[in-house]
Amino acid sequence: MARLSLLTIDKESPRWRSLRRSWYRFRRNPLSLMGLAIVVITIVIAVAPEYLAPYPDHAGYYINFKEAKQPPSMKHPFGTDEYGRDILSRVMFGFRFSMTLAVVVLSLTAPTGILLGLIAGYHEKTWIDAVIMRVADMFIAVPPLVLALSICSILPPNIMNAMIAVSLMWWPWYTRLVYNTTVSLKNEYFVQAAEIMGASKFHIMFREILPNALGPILTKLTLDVGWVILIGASLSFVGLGAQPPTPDLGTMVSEGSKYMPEYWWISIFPAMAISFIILGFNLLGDGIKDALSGG
Amino acid sequence: MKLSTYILKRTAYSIFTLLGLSIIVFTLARILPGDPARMAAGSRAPEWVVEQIRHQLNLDKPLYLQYFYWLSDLLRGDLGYSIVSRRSVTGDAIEYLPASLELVIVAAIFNILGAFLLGSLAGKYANRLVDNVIRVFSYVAISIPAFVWAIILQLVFGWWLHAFPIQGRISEGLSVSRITGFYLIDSILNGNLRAFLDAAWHLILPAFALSIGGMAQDARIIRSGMVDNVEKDYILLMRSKGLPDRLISFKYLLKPSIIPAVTVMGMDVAALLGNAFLVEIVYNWPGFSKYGIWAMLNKDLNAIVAIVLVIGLIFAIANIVVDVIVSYLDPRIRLLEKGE
Amino acid sequence: MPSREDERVPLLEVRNLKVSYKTYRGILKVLDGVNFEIEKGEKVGIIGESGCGKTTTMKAIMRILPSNAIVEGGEILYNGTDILKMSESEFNKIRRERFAMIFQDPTAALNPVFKVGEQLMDILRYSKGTGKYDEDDLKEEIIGAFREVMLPDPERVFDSYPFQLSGGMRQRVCIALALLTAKELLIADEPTTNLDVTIQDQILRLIKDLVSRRDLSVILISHALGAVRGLVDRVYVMYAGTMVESNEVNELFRSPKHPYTRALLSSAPRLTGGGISQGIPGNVPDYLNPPSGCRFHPRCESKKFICDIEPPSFFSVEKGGKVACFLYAER
Repeated sequence: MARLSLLTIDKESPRWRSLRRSWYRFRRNPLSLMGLAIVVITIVIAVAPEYLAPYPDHAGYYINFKEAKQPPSMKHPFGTDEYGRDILSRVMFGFRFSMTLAVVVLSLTAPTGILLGLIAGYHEKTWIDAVIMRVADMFIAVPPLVLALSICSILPPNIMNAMIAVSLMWWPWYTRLVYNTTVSLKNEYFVQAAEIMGASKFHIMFREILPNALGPILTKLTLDVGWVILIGASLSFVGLGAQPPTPDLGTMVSEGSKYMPEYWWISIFPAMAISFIILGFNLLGDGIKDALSGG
Repeated sequence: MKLSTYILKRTAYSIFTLLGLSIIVFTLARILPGDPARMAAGSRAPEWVVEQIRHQLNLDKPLYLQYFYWLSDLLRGDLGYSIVSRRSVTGDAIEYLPASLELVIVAAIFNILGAFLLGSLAGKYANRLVDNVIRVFSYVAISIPAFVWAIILQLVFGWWLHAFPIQGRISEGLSVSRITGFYLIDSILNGNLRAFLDAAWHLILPAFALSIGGMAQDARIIRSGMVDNVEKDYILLMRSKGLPDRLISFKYLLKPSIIPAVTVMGMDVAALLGNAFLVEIVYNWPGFSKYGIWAMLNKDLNAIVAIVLVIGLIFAIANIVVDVIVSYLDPRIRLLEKGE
Repeated sequence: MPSREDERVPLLEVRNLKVSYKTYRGILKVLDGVNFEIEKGEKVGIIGESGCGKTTTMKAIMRILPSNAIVEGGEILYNGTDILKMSESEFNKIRRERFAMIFQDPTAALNPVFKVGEQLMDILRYSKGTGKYDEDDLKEEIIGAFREVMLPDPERVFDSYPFQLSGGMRQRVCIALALLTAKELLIADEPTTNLDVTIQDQILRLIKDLVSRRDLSVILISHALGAVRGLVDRVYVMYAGTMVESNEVNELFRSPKHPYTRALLSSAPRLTGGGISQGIPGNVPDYLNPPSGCRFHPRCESKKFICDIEPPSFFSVEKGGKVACFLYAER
């Protein structure tokens, strides 16, 4: 009896072959590779800023007014901010903050959302479906940024609460995605066959339906890293997320905007850093999507 | 199903969704730590004053009753009182909303026009230089957040090049008496051409910053739609019967190509409404978003709840409009609804 | 039967047509000198495997090749004039008023977001040449054509969107359109392949019936040998971008000459007669690096020395047939 198990990788199986084909397609696309490169750089910086940043202690409390507001130079490639802190170093630590936010939020919301979507989709047209999807729809009814801002404003402003706020409004998108896939696959023959054979609901949801949704989920996860970071940066820009002196990219942009236009680098470099990260994940996500969907 | 039925269904559904949302937001706001009555009265007010305020704000009643009162007020157009500014939220909303709506609507127009233009150019000259340039531009434009665009545009075109104003809706010294709250409309109604031009000039940078992400996104979708569809048999059939190029391109090729883009425009509106919050800050725009941020930073719960609902309502209406447009363009959507 | 005077200038003559496609993998040399002709009022079939270039040839004739296609050489003569050299507007006049094509997939051939009637009206309007036409008259004509192709409830079909019709109905619409607008040449590219097996026969018979009542040249393309047999007078066999054999239809089936034709006909499963059909050994040629000389030579049992050096020309054989094979060169 065939078992579509995720754990056994049979090199001759169609699934493995199609994965390899996807990889070849991915490799051929220069934009996807660029995205991958950017993402790798981002992760490396996020994981070890202490070793990579030229002035790691500038990431915390540090004041040196003699060096304040220096334009970009050899000593400080991104210049210094109003307290004399090296912006390049702070940006690198900012990468860590952004990536942490993304990882935490997505590891909470994706599994929850996916699970709910599977359950709702499998029990289509029952009250389970109705309840889950209606609640999901309620969270989607308001533009994401607005919802995040409002939830964040009700709570005291710190990174933790920012993460909670973003998580609360993020899960419905996964639920929707998985729900649609589940509903469309539910009536396929292989699911019906499994049902007839007496497979448990768990088996059907996780072993039959879920593997087929993995492609879109993976694409979405990748693109979402960029979006979560964007929302996180927006929250801190407004003052609702990380508080100074934590080196969060959004906060840096916001603080630096007071010194425009003369000391433009204080805002612009963190802003470019945010864009850099988002660009990387966007390119990577698009690359994955193209590679999986058959070029 | 018919178009009118479809609209009704969607509207009813949106109302239901918004109601649910209002319950969630309301409950969240009420169950959190902090005493709104105390905050309204001030830290030095005596206890009996706080009690009175509490009673006035219905805070001593059970939660469901509070919600009921709140909802009935809402339906009468009363969004409650701002605890901090001590003004009616409705009044504040009416004052600040038009500025934001004007910005968002102009940004939406930029978004649509830009996407059409760039998308059809890229589609027509697919895989040539124009297309590749537009593609690179799109990736960059989508990845840079709206508020970053806002800052960059302000820096380059405002500060450095002095081409556009740095902030505000209108230059000092010019004023427009308020009829609708939309400067562009009011200035015309006032017969003040100079104010019109000035207001338009102020709108350009923020509206562009808001629209550029969605513009690039939609342009890519339109482009790929056109590229996909131009080799489809139904276009070949028309070409084989010698139909004029213009007719094919602008009628029979365009319509199926823009449908995927229009479907995405609902999300564009969401992005516009959300990003407006940040762009308004950068340009010191006296709009709803600025009011909202202020309310959020001051923990003005009534105002926050009201703002979320107003934006939710606008978003719902915009979504219905988008859905109607999509179902008009693509008959398969309204006619194939669930097993027809 | 075509009269003797018409035999001098065929309606359509394709001479040595060479077409390639530019792809990111390289240049696909698909058509390698196609020779083909059809007389006024004649019904001709083209049979061959998928991918042998049948549709490419038809698209070349109608000038709707994709943008990455290059016509490397050859001529397509319509009543003696090369249409490949005509301007777009000149040729438009011809294809509007005299030519029509039925596509393989009726679902893809109709624009999904416009009503059937609207699309047909626009096409019909242009097919009549310049001048103003009354909308109601056009509609009447279309409804009449719908009746002729036996569409039930023609008025409703007119007002429908393509997805509201069944596959068979959509093809009938396309046939109706083709008949309305083809005065001289009708190309039917595998008109039944994408339809349910149960209605394939119906549609074929419909086409045969309609076509027999008109003085129309018809090119019928199919990879189903039987479909072609009942409908056409003459058949071309196509392989890997060239015509390898042509003959009067019954003669071809009775006595196939080209090794490929022989193999093709013997590999077709029969209802009667025993034996398991053999496939044809070897693979379809790679158009990136096609075989030199005769493109069939790698798979040919009767390959001779010259076969991989030079491509054979269309040699005449008895009863007006032609074969592109050196086996028949001395005749």
